[in-house]
Amino acid sequence: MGGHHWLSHQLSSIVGEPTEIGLSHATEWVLMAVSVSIAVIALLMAVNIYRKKTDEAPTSFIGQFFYNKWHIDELYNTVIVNPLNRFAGFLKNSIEKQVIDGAVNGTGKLVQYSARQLRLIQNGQVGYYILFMVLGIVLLFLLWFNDTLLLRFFHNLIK
Amino acid sequence: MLLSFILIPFVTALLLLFIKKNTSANTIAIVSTLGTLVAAIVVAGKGAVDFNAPWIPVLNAQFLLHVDGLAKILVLLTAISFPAIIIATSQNQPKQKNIFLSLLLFTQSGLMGVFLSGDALLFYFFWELALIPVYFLSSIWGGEKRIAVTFKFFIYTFLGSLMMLIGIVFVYMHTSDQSFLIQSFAKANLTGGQQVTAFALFFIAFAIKMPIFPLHTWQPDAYEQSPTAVTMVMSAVMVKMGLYGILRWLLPLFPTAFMAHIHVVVILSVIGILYASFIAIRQDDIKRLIAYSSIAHIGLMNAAIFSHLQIGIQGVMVQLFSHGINVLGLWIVADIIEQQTGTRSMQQMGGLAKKQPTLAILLVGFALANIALPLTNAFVGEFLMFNSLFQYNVWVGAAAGVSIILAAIYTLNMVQKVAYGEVSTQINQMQTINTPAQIVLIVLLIIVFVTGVFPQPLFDLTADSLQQIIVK
Repeated sequence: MGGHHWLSHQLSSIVGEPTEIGLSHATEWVLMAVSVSIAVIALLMAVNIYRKKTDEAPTSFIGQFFYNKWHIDELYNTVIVNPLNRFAGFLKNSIEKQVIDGAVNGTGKLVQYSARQLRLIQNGQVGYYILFMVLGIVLLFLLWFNDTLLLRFFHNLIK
Repeated sequence: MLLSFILIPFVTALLLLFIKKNTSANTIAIVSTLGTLVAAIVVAGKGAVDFNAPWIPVLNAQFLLHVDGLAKILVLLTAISFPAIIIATSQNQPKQKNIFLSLLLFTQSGLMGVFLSGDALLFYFFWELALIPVYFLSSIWGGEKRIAVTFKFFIYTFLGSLMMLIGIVFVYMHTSDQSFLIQSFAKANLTGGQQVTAFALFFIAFAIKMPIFPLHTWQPDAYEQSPTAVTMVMSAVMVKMGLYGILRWLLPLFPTAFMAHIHVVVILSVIGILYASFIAIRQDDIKRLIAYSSIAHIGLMNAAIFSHLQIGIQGVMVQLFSHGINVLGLWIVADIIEQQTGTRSMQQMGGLAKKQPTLAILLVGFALANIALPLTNAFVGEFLMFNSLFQYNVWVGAAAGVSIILAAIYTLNMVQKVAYGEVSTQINQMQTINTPAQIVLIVLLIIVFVTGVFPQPLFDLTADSLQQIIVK
C-alpha cells in the first residue's frame, strides 16, 4: 500500500532531503479501517436523525451542545479574538498615537515653545543686553582658562 | 553600460520638463523606464561590472559604479517598479504631468545611483537625489495634510542623512589613502570605540529609512498622504535603501561594532514586527494597513540580517525583490479602488468580488503573497529568514513567528472586508478598470508565482554578494 512521496523534494534545495517515516502496511490498513468505519457510523446516525425532522434546533443538552458546534466559536472569541483586538486597539490608540508619535510631535512643539520663550529676551531694553554681554564675556574667560578640560572632553567624545 | 541606469532616467527627466503635452510626456516616461528595464535585464545576465571616472579630484572622490548580485537584484526591482507604477497610475496623475513624471524619474536615477555607488560620497549624493524629488512630489500633490506630513518626513529622513554624512566624513578622515572608496573605508584605521560611533551614525540613517521601531511614525502618515505613485516608489523601492545600506556598508565596514549590536537590533526589530502587526489589525484605512504591514515585513528582514547567519541574509536578498513586487501589487489594487470609490475606509467597501471579479482575484493573489503562503515568492524568503531567526535564538524565532499568524489575520480581514459581503454603495460605483493597469497587475502576479515556485534564478543572482558578505 503506502503513498508515493511525490511532493517531498520540493524544498530539498533549502532544507535537505527528508528522512523517511515508515509505517508498516498492517498499521496503515488498521488505521484506514477504523477511520472509515467511524465515518460510516456517523453517516448512518445523521441519516437517522435528519430523515425525520429538518430545520428544528435540538432541545436536549447534548443536542444543543453539538448544534452550537461545541461552542468553539464563542470560546475562541472570548479567549483569543477579543483580547487580541483590545490589545491591538490599545497599541494603536494609546501607544502609537500618544507615546511614540507624541514624543516625535512633542519635540517639534518643544522647539517652537522654546523659540517663543527665547524671543522674549529680545525686548529692546539696553540694560538687559549689557547684562547678557557681561555674562557672555565671563563665560568666554571661563572657557579660555579651562581649554585643556574642554579639549579633553571633545577628544573623548570622538574617541 | 552601468552609467545608462543613471543617465536614461536623468536625461528623460530633464527632457520632460519641456514637454507640455500630457500624452507625449506619459509615452516618453514609459519608453524611458522600459529602456532602463531592458538594460537591467541585460546587466543581470552578466558578471560583476565596474564603471570608474574621476569626480571631485580635490577630495579624491570618484564616480565609481559597481554592480554585483545584491546591486543587480535591486536595480532589477527598481527597473521593474517604475514602468509598472507609471503605467498603472497613468490615468490619475495630476495636471502638470510632465513635472510630476520628471520628478519621479529623478528619483529613479537617484535610486539606481544608491544601489550602484562604490564611493561613499557618491552614495550620499545619490541618497539625497532620490529623496529630494519625493519631498516636492508629496508636498505639491499629496492629500489634505500633506504639508505637515511631508515636513515630518523631511525632518526625519534629513536628520538621518546628515548623521550619515557626518559618519562618512568621520571614516574618510581615518582612511590611510584619504579616499571615499568602499575598499578604503573597509581598511580604515578605526579603534573599537570609533567603529561604534561610525556604526551608530550610519545605522540611524538606515533605521529611519527602513523604518525600524520606534523611528517609524513618519511612514504611515507619508504613505497615506502622498500621491499613490509616490507611495508606491517609497514602499516598493525606497525602503530597500535602508536594508541595502546595512548589507553593503554597515556590515562589511564595521564588523566589530555590528557584532556588538546584533542582540539589541534583533530584539528591537522583533518588537517592531509584532507591534506593527498588532496595529495593522485595527486599521480601517487600507493604505495605513499596507503601511503597517510593510513595517512588519521590513522589520523581519532587518532582524534576519542582524541574526547574521548565511541562510538569513540569503533570505533577505531574495525578499528584497519579492517584497517590492508584492507591496506594489497591493498598492495598485488599493489605488484603483480609492480612485473609483473615493474612499480608503474598508468599512465602506465590500462585495468587490461580485462587482469586479478580476480585481478581486488579483487582490487575493497579492494578499496571499503578503501572508507568504507557499507557492508565492514571499514564502521562499520568509522561510529562510525565520529559519535563521530560530537558529539565532528559539524564543526570538518563536516571537517573530507569531507575526505569521498576525499577518494572516490582518490580510485576510482586509480581503474579507473588501472582496466579500454585500456590494457597498461605494463599490457599486466602480466602472471597468483600465486595461494597462490590469496588465501590470497580471504581470506582477505572474512574477509572484513564478519566483515562488522557481526561486533558483534569484539565489544564483545573489550568490556572489552572499559569499563576500559572509566571508567578511
